[in-house]
Amino acid sequence: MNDLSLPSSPGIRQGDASLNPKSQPEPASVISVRGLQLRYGDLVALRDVNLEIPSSQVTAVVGPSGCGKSSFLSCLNRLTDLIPSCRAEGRIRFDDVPDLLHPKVDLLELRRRVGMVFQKPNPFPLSIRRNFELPLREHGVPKDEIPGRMESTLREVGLWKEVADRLNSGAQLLSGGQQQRLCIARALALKPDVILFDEPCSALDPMSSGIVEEHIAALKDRVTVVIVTHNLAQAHRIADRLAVFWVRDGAGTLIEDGPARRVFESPRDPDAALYLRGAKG
Amino acid sequence: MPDPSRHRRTRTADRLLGALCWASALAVVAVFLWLLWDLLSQGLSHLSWSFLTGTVEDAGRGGGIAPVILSTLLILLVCLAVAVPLGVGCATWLSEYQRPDGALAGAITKAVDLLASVPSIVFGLFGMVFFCQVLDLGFSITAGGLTLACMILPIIIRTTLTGLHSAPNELRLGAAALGMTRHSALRHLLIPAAVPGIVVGVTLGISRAMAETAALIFTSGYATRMPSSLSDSGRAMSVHIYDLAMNVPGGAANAAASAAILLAVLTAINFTASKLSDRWHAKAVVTR
Amino acid sequence: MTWWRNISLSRQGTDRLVGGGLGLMAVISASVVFFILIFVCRGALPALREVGLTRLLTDGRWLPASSREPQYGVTAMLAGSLLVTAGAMLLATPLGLLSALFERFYAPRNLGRWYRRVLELLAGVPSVVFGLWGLMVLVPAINRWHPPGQSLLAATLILGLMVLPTLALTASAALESVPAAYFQAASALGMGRAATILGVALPAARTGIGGGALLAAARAIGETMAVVMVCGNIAQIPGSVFDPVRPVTSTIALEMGYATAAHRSVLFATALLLILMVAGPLGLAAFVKTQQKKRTVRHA
Repeated sequence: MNDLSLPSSPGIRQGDASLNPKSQPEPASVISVRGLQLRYGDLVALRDVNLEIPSSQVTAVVGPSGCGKSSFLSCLNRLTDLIPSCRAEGRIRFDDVPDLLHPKVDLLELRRRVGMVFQKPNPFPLSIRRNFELPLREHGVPKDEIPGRMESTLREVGLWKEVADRLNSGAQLLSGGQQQRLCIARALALKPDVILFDEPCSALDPMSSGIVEEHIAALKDRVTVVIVTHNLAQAHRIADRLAVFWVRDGAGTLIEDGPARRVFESPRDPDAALYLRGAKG
Repeated sequence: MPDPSRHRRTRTADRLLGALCWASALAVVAVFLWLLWDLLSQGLSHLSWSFLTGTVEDAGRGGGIAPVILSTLLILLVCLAVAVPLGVGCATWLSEYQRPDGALAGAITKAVDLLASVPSIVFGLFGMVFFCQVLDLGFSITAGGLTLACMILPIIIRTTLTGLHSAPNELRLGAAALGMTRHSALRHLLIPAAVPGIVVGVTLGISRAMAETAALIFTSGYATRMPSSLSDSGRAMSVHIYDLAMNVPGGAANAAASAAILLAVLTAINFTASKLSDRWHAKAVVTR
Repeated sequence: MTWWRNISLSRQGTDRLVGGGLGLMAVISASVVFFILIFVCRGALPALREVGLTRLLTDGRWLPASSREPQYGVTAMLAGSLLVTAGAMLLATPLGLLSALFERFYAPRNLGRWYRRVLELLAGVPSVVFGLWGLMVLVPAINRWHPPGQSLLAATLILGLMVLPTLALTASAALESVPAAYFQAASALGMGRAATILGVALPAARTGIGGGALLAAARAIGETMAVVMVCGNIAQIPGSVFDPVRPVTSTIALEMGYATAAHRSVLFATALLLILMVAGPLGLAAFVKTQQKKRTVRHA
C-alpha cells in the first residue's frame, strides 16, 4: 500500500524478536512493539514493553489505573510528541514503517493511518459536515469525494439516519454517544489501518456505551482495533486478544498478552490472574 | 460567660469600619459625578451637529472637530493594523509553538511585560526619534499610529494568550490525532476559539489608544487641517483637548465639549469590552 | 503510490514556515522594548558624556536653554515626581482600600456591582480629561483658597483620583481570591466582621493589595497629562503644597517640542531616569511575587 518516508531502519537492537518468547507465529502483526520505554522527565511511565498487534483483530489493553495503558496507546500514533518532556524509546514497527518512533517519520501521514478516539468525545465545535471536511481536505481528499465518504462512514457507525437532515448544525449539539460515534466515523473517513480507542465508553451512559461498543466490535473487518478499557466485561465481549499492563518497580509494563480467551481462562502471570479473576467474581 | 464589654467593642469596630467604607465609597461616587457634571454642563451646550462636522477655526475656539475625529480614526486604524496581527502572531507562537517553561518564550514574555510598564511619554520620545526621524516618516498619522501600536501591543498579546489558553486541549489533541497540520488547527480551531479574547484585547487596546495623549504630541503632531493622507500630520482628540486647555485662552468650552465626546465614546467601548468578556467568561464556564 | 508524500511534505513545510513567521512576529514584539531602551540611551548619551550625571544631580537650577550659562539641575524635577506620587498614593491607598472593602463586604450585592462599574468607568477616563477637569474646576477652587492654584496639591489630588480605581480594583481582586474557607472559619470562631476583615481578609490578600499599590505608584510616576495641566510647571522644590512643581514627565512633554542639542539630550537623560524610577516599584512588585511563590512552593 503506502510507503512512509523513512530512512533505512537502524540496526536491530538487543532483546528482539528471535529472543522473545511472545512473538510466536501468530496472525500477521500490523504493529510490533519492541523494548518500548516511556519517560516523563525523570519519571519512567513504561518499561520494556514488547507486544505484537495482529491485523484485523480487536486487541484490548487492560490493567489497573496508572499502569500506563493510555500512555502506551499515545506512543502508537506519537501523540506523546505533544507532551513536553515526554520521551519514548525503543522500536515500534508499523506495517511498512520500520520504526514509527524515528524522528523523521511523517507524523501527519502516520496519524492518518493510525486513527484515535478519545475517552471524552472531541468533535470540533463546528458543524457535523465541517468535522469531516476539515481533516479530509487536510489529507488531500478531493472535494467531491467528501460527501460520499462522510455518508458511508456515518452509516457504518449507525449515525447517518440520525444526523442526515442536520449535517450543518453543530456537532456539539449531539448527545454524548452520538458525538463519540461521530468521532469514530471521522477517524474512519481517513481510511486508517489502525484505530486506537482510549476508554471510548467510560464517559458515556450505559445505553450509548453499549451502542458504541457494538460498532467498535464491528470495525475489525476493516481496521485493526486497539482499545484501552477499564471495563473487563467489555474486554471479554469484544476482544480477540488481551494485553494486561501492571505496575512493576514503579513503572508500567506489560505482564501478559495473548488470545483473549486463553488469557482470560488461564493467565500465566499471577498478578494478571488475580486481576482478571477479580473481574469475573 | 463572655465579657459583654468585649462584645460592645467588637460591635463598635464593626460599625466604625462600615462607616468608613460607606464614606469613602460615597466620596468616590460624588467626585465622579462632579467630574461628569462639569464636563457635561460645560460641554453639552457647545455640542451640535455642526460641531462634529465642521472644521477647526480660530485655533479651536470656533468651528468643529471633524478633522480631529478623522485624524483620530486614521491613527487608530494604523495602530490596529499593525498591533493586532503582530500581537496575535506573537501570542500564538508563545502559546502554541513554545513550551511555557522554555527559555526563549520566558524571555519574550518578560520583554512584553517590560514593554507594558514603559510610561507613555517615553513611547512618545521613542516614536519621535525612531518613526519620525530614523524611518523618516515625519510628524504624521503613520508615525503616531505606529507609536500607539507599540504601546497597545502588550494588551493584545496578553488577552490573546488568555483566549488561546482557554481553548480546550482536546481541540489540539483531536486535530493532531487526525493528522492535521498545526497551522490548519490554528486557523480553523484554535484562533476561532481565541476570538473572544482577541476581541476583548482589541477593544481594550482601542480605548487605551484613544485615551493617549503624551505619546502623540511628538509623533502625529498638532495640525488641525483635514488630513489628506496617512503621511499628513493630524491632531488626535486627546491632543486637541490638551492644546485647547493649555495653549488656547478661551478654548475651555470646546475642550470640554470634545472631552464629553471622547468620554462617551470611551465609556461605550469599555462597557462593550466588559460585557463581552463577562459573556464569554460565563459561556466558557457553561460549556466546560 | 507516493503522491501523498509530496503533499504532506509540503504541508509540513508550510507548517514550519508559519511557525517561523509567528516566531519572527514574537521576536519583533519582544524587541520593541529594547529598541525603546536603545534609542532613549542613545539620545541621553551626549548629555551623560558632556554634562555628566553629577551635574544633572547637583546643578542648582534648570536653565537648559540659556545660551550663556546653561544649568541642568534635575533634582527639583525628581523631587516633583516623587512628591506628587507620594501625595497621590497617600490619598489613594486608604480610599482605594476602603472602596474595595465596601464593594466586597459592606455594600449590598447589587450596589456593590454598581459601585464596581463606577470604578471601572473612572479607570477608563483618559488622563487628559482628568487634567482638563483639574484645570477647569480644581485649580480655580484652590486659587480662591490659596493662590496660585496650579500646585503640588492640585497635581496630588488629580493624580490620586486617577490611580484610585487601579488600587481599588486590584485590591478587590485580591480580596476576592481569599479562600471562602477562611471566612467560614472566622465566622465559626464568632469573629465580628471588622475583626474578620482586619485579621483574616487583609493579611491573606496583602500580596495582591501591595502589588496593586506598587502598580499604581509606577503609573503615577509615569503619568504625564493629568499632571502637566495642573502642577504649575515651575522647576523648584516646593515650600508648601500650594507651590507649583514640575515633575520629570511634564518637563519632557513641555520642552521636547523645541529642545535642541544639549538640552534635548538632557531631556532624554531625564527620560532614562524616569524609566528607572518606574522600574523601581515594578521590580519590587515582581520580586515580592517571586518570593511569595517560592514560599508557597516550600510550604506545599
